Amino acid sequence: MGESLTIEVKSTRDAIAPAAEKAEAWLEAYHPSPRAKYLAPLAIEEIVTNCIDYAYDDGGEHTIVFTLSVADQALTLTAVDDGHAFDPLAEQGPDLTLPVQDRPIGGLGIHLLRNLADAISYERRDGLNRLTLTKALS
Amino acid sequence: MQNISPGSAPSQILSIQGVPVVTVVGRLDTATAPAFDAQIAALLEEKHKRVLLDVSRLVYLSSLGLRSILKIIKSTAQNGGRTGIFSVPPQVMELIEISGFQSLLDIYPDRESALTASRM
Repeated sequence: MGESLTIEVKSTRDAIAPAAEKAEAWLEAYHPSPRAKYLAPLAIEEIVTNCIDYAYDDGGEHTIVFTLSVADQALTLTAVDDGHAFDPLAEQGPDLTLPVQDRPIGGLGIHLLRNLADAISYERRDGLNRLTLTKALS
Repeated sequence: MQNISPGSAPSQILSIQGVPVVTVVGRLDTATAPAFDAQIAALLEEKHKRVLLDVSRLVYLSSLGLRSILKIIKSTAQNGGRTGIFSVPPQVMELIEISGFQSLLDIYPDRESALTASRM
């Protein structure tokens, strides 16, 4: 049982489910709480989806690299992509007080991750976006 | 999330005492939401004021799944009604709350209470 897992995910929707399953299976060995177990596949889905929809200025295929590691009873998940610079944490979250007809369809992905993770941080380094989430396993 | 393969058929639609009840099974995410939306499209065209969602067997929901649910909520609202949801697992409830959907949905503990409230 390794202390970390690296998954390279192609920027296609079909690549999301297998990667999410792999992350979840790996995490299982650490007996995560249901909330911690939920976060890994959700992060992979939301981050890859965001990349597909917004990150790339060309039509080519890209790779998003996820690294999961466990230390001190906490999961750290890092996502690195080569899309154009984008700090999702600088975006204003959705307005959850709007009446039903005005609620935007979409824009909830990062909002979910921000609320489910214990901590989330972003940095731009060497031309890459790096988003890091942490979550206690218990 | 055990025993439910990605992309599995997401829903079943029944009419119980004239109220459409949509049972969502397994995962509602990037892989399954398009099929779910397609299944629901015909139902939404019937312009119901009331739709009930049975999510007792929904094990995983992402923002795309929430988007599918919001489409149903908006549809019933346009018809002057509201969407009800029942038997909500804790993880799903947490996502509904984070998304601010709890004020947009009528939430019931079980099928009986949801149907009783929908007959009025």
